[in-house]
Amino acid sequence: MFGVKRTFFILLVIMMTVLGAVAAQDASEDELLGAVPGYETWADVLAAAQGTTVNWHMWGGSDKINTDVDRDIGARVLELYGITLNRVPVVDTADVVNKILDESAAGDTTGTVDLIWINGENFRTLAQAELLYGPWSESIPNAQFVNWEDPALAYDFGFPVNGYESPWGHAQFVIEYNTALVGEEPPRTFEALAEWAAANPGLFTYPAIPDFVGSVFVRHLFYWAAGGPEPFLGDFDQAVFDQYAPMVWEYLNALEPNLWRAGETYPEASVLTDLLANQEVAFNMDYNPGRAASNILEGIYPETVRTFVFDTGTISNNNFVTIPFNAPNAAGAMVVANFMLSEEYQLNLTDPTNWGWLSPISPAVYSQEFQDAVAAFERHPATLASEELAAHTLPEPPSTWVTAMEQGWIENVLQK
Amino acid sequence: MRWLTLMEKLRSPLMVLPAVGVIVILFFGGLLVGLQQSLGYFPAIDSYEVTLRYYQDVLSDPIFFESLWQTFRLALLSTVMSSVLAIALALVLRDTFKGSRFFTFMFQLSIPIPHLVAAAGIVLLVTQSGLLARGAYALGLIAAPRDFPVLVFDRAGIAIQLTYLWKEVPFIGVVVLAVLQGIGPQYEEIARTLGANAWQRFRYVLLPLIMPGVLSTSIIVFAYVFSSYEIPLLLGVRFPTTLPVLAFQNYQDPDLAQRPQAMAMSIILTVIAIVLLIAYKRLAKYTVSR
Repeated sequence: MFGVKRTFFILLVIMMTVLGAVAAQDASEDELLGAVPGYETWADVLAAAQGTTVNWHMWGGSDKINTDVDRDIGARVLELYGITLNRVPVVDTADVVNKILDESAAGDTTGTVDLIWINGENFRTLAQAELLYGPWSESIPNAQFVNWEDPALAYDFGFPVNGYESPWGHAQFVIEYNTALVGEEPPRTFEALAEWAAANPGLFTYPAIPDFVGSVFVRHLFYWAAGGPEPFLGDFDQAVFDQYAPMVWEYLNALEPNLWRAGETYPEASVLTDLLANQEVAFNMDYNPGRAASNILEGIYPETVRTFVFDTGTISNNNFVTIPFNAPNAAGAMVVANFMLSEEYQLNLTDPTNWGWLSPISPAVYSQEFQDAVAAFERHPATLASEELAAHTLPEPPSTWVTAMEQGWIENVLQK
Repeated sequence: MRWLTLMEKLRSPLMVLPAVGVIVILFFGGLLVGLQQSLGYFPAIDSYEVTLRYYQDVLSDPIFFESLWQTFRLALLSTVMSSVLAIALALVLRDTFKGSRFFTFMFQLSIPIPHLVAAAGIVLLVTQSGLLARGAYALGLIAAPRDFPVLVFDRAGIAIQLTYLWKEVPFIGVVVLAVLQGIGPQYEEIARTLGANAWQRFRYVLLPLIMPGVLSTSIIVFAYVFSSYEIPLLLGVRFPTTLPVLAFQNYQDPDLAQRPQAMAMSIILTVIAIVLLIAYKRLAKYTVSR
């Protein structure tokens, strides 16, 4: 009995060694597409990353994202490259920026952060202060899949990416609503939304800025006021801002008495999710069009939740990761970022029963199996068809606009 | 011989040096950097000019004073209510009665629990979809969970106060209880033989004896509440908020040019806290000696 077990075990070890060697063989066939600071070849990067820990600082406000990251990225990079992924949850990415800034001020050339899930505003802050490692993101092997010609990938909130961050997920804003409270036909314009809220006070609200979801909701109102995104896509212009801002503040202040808690306060994004789950409000909103479906599947949301986009479209952008200048393990961080562009991970990312996100990569660049698998995905009724989402895409404005809009909201809506 | 006396004299300062060193380096080090940045000296954004502009900006902003008032109101209310409740509870618990050890234990239970955990617990309990609201709904006391009174994310800061009370009453109470148990019954008995009634025994005998303990702990509570940001951030309304929250929001702004203002706010907060503490101590001493 014992002998059989032992033989089996030895066989297993041999199989794993062989498989591991094959995997390593595969990986070493990848080559760098360009130069990265400090390493000659991708094999050097892999060798330097082997057996290390990567400290990934990322927004930790979603339990689902946290467990998904640990399972589909953390466990996999450990298996494939011997990298331990240490997910460091943060409330606000600005905290990480401050940390790196303080490290830089203290002359700390070996920091504590390897990889950051970053947004446009904070990317600009770090890039302008020259606190990023790179350029690297156009050189890692899987960067071949990224269409760097696409302005939505070449620019993050209007700021040129230039090889300093790597995409890993695509996002598009949607509104979630509970059909049990709203009915089948949601208010698809801002005029209809205001009317609905007036008729049903207390059932609509949006997260307080500086939350990024609350911030993007307010950006839509600027596009609405101007009849489109065009005035806000260039450099910041105070005159243009002053032209449209009053209409936005007027709309939001008129809406305020009809909001949840009569607009006395605005919830955090995570609190708003609880409010919809508990049917205290009828709407929520998110950058992930598949979030409603996964929340229903997880039993968080009622079965009756659906999503919609405004008739005039919703803003979409990409999720990026970046590496700070003093990352103690830039090699490991690049390997993780590279894995996040792999066919394997992107399939998990787009699988509606798994992550349920959108991919920043066109499926056509991956294998036929990948494309077949994506075509076979069954869409949850709470998730909109990708054609409908794509037909309603609006671009993000440069982050200088975002800052002004956020500050304006705080002064003209929150503090009024 | 002289060497020995010198060593004797130096012994105490040397022994406190490590502790003082930690405080000086960590606390004053941070304060110094904050002070530099509040004056506009911030090499990370190539700003070297020293100016009082940021203090002017902060002090000319009505939002600042609204937040200051909020902070002061919260700190004062929590300190006064906690102290009164703590004294009352300590007076009850100092007597031995059936189950008094159990109650004393329960009374002290919340001391080691972190403020953040306390805040999370209060939210789960009193929010409109919380345990109390669900219970009231199940019992038919309210028609819908939405009818439950607004106790969290409210302008009055009820949930904030509840959290502070839950945490600080035992903190003050434990000290008062220890003092009361150390005093023993003899002073009160003497007062009683001299004809003092219950209120007089409390006011003129017990209160002066426990006041030093109440004072030192309530000063800590006041200073803590005045400068703590996590509870108002988690349980309060977005506006008007407290000064520490306001400063932290400025500090978190991706626009680094906001940083000096956040630091100016924090320095002003520190100065006000120190001034208030000195005033409070003076006032309290005056009250006791009267």
